[in-house]
Amino acid sequence: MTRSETVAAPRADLPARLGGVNAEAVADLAACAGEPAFMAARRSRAWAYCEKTPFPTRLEELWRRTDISGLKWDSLLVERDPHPAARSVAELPAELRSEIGPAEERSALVVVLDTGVVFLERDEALIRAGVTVLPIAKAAREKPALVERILGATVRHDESRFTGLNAALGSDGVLVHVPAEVALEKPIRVLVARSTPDLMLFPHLVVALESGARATVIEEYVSSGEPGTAVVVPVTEITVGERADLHVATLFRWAGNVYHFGVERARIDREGRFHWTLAALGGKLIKADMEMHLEGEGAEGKFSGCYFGNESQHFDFHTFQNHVVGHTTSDLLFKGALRDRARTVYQGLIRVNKNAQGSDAYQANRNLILSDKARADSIPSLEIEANDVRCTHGATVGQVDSEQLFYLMARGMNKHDAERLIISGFFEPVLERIPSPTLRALVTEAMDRKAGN
Amino acid sequence: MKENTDTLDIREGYREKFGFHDDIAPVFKSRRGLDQDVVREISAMKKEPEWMLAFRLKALEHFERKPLPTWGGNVAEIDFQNIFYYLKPTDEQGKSWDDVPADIKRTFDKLGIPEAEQKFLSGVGAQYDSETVYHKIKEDLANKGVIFLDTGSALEQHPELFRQYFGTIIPPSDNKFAALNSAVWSGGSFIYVPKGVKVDLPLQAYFRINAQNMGQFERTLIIVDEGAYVHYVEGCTAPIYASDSLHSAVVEIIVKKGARCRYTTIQNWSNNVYNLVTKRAAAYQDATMEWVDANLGSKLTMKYPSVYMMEPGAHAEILSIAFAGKGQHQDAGGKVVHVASNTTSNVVSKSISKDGGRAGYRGLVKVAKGAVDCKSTVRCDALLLDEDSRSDTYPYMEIEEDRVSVGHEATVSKIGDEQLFYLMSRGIPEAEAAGMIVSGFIEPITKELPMEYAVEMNRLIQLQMEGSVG
Repeated sequence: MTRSETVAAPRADLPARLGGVNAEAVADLAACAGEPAFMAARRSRAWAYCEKTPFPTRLEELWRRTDISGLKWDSLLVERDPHPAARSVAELPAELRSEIGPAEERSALVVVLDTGVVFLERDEALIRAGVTVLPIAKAAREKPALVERILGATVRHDESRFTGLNAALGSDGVLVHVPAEVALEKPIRVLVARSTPDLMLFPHLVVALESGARATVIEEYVSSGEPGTAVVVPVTEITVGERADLHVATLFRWAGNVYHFGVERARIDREGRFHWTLAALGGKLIKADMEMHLEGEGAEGKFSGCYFGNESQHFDFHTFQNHVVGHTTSDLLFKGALRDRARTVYQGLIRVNKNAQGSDAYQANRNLILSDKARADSIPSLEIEANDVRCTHGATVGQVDSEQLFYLMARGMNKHDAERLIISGFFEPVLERIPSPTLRALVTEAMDRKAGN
Repeated sequence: MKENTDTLDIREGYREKFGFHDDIAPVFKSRRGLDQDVVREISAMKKEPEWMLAFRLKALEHFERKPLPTWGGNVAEIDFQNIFYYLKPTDEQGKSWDDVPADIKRTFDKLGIPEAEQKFLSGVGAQYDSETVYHKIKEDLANKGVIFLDTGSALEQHPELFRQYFGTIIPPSDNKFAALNSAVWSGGSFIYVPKGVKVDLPLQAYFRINAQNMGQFERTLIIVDEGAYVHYVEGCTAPIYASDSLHSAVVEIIVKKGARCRYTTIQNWSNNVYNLVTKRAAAYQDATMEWVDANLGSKLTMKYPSVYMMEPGAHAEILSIAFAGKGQHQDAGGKVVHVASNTTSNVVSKSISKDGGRAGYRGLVKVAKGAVDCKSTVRCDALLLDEDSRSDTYPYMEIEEDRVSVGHEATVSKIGDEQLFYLMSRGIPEAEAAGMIVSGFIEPITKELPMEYAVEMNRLIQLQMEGSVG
């Protein structure tokens, strides 16, 4: 049994464009959304920070390889009327329906379209177990203590102008909270979509697992290419409690006009297990910070990522495996392919802090370059301050392996097909971890399409 | 017990062997600080041609305009206005060893240079503060047309050859410290090896900083003509003073078609020297450039010897050792830039951190647009000897072509308990056993050194390891 709910997106009297936003407008936004005082205060602090903080420039180490000076920020829209809520999947726009797949594949589905939640569906088992899957504003009214505890606890508003804007102007986010010892078998899906030209989005996803909880969350970013410049500034905050076990699959499937500047961060407590799967295909420019902080002994983080850039796509990933305490394990594999004039940057850091003895860390970045006009930068870094550790990393940049190619061609396959097969074999170990057959098929198909061009 | 100050205890033995300083009255000493007048004064003292003065003044502009680097080590504490930029210890350069003044000779005696020369070295150029006071090259090499001079004399004696190459590999605008060197440089080595000439024995120069608050800004230029070969070895020491010194050298190397050049550095500055050096080579068709770069001393070293492979068939090797003890930060590494197709490079880095020291590898592998069928491997290993020390690895890979193979691997570990147990169970004391393991760890690089340097290297490592246990 599933239960659908309609949720009205909040409405605010913001000036339409970023250039016109001021402190008053930010206060109005909180009032219109009916947010509790602590959230309104958070917004105004964040806006005050934004007012004195410029966008990053190429002078900053993590922005050296991505130039955003050409974006006309002030003219971007930050407001629109809410879309009508859908009462069932059938009422959602057609291009989103195809993403969703059968209800058996999920325990909950939240669809965020532009500035608000337009659809929410949760199955009975999930509700009975006390799991919260709600728009943040609504959750804040119903469970203020919980929201106050976990909102902004992982990503601060004063880290960059982007996190500041997200905290100040975000219209509504999604909160997922799984109580202690509750295990969910089926994934919770959060689908973030956009359709309004020149609208700037600030998605916010908060996922918190209490001790011993177990869950899978799929966050997916999609669009079908409305005209204009599309800028998205998401923040994802993840906390994995003691002994909890969380799998997050992050899928970037934007259309070719989207600029994405995101921060995603997970904090993992004692003996917690966190597994992250990332597939990045779409977008004009993706700049994503993806971090795992191992904060309790015995914590474990595993990260499998893949990206495929073509045409003039620009992907810039920064990963951070932070061993805050000892006896923690992290394992990262990031695989990328590039064709046409695509450019990718992988910048990863393993940090083992002074007291984090007994840490075990691994980091690998593998790149396949399929065109002489593509460019791949790889910077896998280590900062190690404890000596009783095991820490290894590796990176490669190269072409499709000529021996594998020869093997397949010697068996009668033409070069084009052989290359396609090798590329899909390259990505398969990552793609097979996507915890939804529908999405796995969609992503695999999209990857194959890129490989076959 | 040895008398040690706080800043010295990881480098026990340094004071006894190298920490002397001689009271020498310099013939000429520029005033402290840096401005156009100081630069003009240096150039005038050296009776330089007009173009060199113009070059220096232009470089000074770059130096003043460029900000200090915000990455790497902390250079914010360097007081550029409290430094003597030029000292000239004697009037004339000695032609033979007998002509070198006795007090300066005593310094070199302590370093053991003449003996080394007597044995088998083909030439000795030792830089004492800013000017090379002694320079000699064996007759047969001179007869073959090999030029081995201090850089100032080369400007005087071979003006055209000099001007053709000087500043072409590292322009003054390259970075703040290269600009500083370009403005105030003095001394350094100039080597020209003519076509087809192979210099069998290593050419050596020994650098020392003697005066307090003295900057040392030597400038080395090596041209290895087609099919030729040379191995240049430099060692560096400095006496111990309370205040910090600055060493900022520029080394430019041109390796022409089919030639090979190896440049070996054993850097053993005392713990108060900022060592900020720019070293770069251009390797042409089928040429090989090899940097062997060992950094044991200094307070902070930021040095990334680079090779630009300009034509097909060029090959680059970088072997780097960084050993950081108490209060030391070794930001070492290297850069290989594949400008042409069919070029290959190999980088091996070994870093060791101890007693709170910080050692690391910072490197770049770049494959430029149009350079296909390039191959590069980078291997970095780090050893952390205690829980207070730190190891960093920052490898940058920038690949703009598809027909390439680029690989990077790195590990960080401590001394294996099993290895230690094995040696100790055979009666070897712990400190000695740890020293043996460290020597084994850097063996792939020490075995590339000339024998007496390999011996010296292992002795230095042993010295640093002593007192590290118990």
